[in-house]
Amino acid sequence: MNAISIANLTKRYGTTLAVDDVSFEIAEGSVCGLLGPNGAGKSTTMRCLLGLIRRTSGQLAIGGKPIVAETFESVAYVPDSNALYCWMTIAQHIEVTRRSYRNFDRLRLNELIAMFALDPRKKVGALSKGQQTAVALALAFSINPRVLVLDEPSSGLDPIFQRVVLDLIIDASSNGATVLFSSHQIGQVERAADRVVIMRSGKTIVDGEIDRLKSDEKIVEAIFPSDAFSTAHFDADARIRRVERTGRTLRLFVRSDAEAVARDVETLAPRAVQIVDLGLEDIFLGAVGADAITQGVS
Amino acid sequence: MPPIFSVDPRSGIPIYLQLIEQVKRAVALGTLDSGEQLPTVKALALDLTVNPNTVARAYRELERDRVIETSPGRGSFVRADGSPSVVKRAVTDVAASALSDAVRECRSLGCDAPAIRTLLEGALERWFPGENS
Amino acid sequence: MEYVEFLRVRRMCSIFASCVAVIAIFAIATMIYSSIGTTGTGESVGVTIGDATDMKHHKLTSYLQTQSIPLGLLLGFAGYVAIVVATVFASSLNKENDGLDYVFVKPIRREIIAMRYAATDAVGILAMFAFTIVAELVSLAIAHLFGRIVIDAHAFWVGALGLGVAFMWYGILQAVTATYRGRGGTIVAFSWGFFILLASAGYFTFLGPLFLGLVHVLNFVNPIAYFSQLIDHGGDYKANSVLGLGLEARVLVVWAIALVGTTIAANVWKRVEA
Repeated sequence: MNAISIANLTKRYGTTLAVDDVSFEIAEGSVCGLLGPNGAGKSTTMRCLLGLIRRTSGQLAIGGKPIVAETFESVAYVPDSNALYCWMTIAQHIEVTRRSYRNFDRLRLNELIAMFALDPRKKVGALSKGQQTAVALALAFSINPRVLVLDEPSSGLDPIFQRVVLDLIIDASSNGATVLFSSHQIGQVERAADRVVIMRSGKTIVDGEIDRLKSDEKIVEAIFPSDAFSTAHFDADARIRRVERTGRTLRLFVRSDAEAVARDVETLAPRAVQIVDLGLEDIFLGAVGADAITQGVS
Repeated sequence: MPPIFSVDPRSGIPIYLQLIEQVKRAVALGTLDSGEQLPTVKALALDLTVNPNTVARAYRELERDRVIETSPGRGSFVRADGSPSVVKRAVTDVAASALSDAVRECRSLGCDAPAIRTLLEGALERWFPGENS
Repeated sequence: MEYVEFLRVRRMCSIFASCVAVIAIFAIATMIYSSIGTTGTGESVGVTIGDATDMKHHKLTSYLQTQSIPLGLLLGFAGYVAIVVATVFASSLNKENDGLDYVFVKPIRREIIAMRYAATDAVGILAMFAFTIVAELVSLAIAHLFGRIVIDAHAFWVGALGLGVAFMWYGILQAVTATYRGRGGTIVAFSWGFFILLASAGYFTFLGPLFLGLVHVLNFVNPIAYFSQLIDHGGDYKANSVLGLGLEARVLVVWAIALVGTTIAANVWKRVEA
């Protein structure tokens, strides 16, 4: 069963489309990484899913049902910016969580507080941004949620705590929880997630299992004796994402069937052809396009 | 203690394939004995910091390839029945994929099949002097 | 009860309670000092009439010694305290609008969250109303004036009106600030100026009948209009009201507006986009 399902989600602000007909589903127990340049609509998608902002159109479901108040009994959300109360202590936030959630697990919470080296007596306003994120994460995981929606859960955290976050996601997933998390750090998605959705300008441009994408998405690179070779017929090829030509080198960003594409390239009599395996970062950059790189994707 | 595997998540090779290769290699080399227990999916996922479904998938494929067997509640073990054939299969699989990679590399450099065959014979002569007919 | 709001209310109540306590101590001191200064006969009071300060003593003392203290007056003052407290608590939903990402993902229906906030605020307002009454009674007891308290005919209605006006103001401010994305405190402060001006605008006869008519209508949602001219004029509430409503009718209207305002607030707040 799909733990999260988003169908034809659209969110319009005035004339701008923040989310444009986005559809994807996440199977129960799966971890889905949400990638995309800034302003791609990642946060908006998550916030629409949780009903924090109203969708313009589309159908949303968590656990196969429309989202109502009871849904949140087992759903945890960590927003990208601090939504906690600066004037309250960590202990007081814990009390709020204890009173709000039936599944609140005191022992688990104590473990998490210790894991992030937090002092419950401190006021949230006195904490660093990373520590505030840590508090939000500790509270989120303390209810042993079945569905986790994490918007940049490791922003502001040092590398050690970033690893803790990955461990928490992996641990939750191995206990059957479903996770949707966004990150600017592709390496984290590559490790913790089995699924990835890449967004750009409000649309999903890549959606799939990471291992499958790595099997399918390749670069076919060919070097020709001269720069007089024709690639026009590759432009409309459904297997090919993007054609890149620099001098005598041709690079085809292939969606699937790399070997067949390589054979087609060989008919053009190149000097050499090779198929290059792609990491998620290459797939991301290939899909988002070179223009996004200059816009500063980190 | 079962051996600790290592994967490179950044690589273009799917993690589950890397894991399958690693387990098979360990079986072929004997670092994993027949009947020996593998770490649980959760333990290995946390140990390698990779997604548990990916580890589970590798285990499923290894089970399908008859390299390991999983009994519910007890865990996953290297197959003990007819262990020589398990090891042999593992050796064949790992070797075949290594050779396939090498051929792919040669081909990408523009070598044709007869050229690669000549190269292969040269390599065999180097590693098995006198045995090559 | 909502825990977050409980923490806020507890903090504000302790500040208000301190203020009331300070006023009470000051009042006790004044009352005791006045009675000491006039331990002599009535004639001796007349002797010191030349001095302005003693004049005041004289008036206050003779008032305290001769006049009864109506309970309505005490409840009315407690009502004033409740109004101040209520307007401070009235932007509680507005205060959450920066952190809705945290509030709206709780497994509780949003209108229920809103009603819990209102209930918590209500407890705080009632607590301060009660605390003020207790402080008044204790102060009078310490000053040996407890016996002067008389239960006047309208006392309880005045109390109910004072408290009702506090909740009415609260309800109106909640409804207005619930969806506001800026600081609700600004609107709260503005409401004091606006309502005071509106309550006295009826006296600006030079503005013409049309304007006065408008003022008259607007005053029906003006908490101060309901509560003003109670203490000064004592007796005939209806005749002295800018609204032309009797005491009981006013009590009914203010509580109705309080309920309607709070309900509107809960229903608009749940639709705020985080």
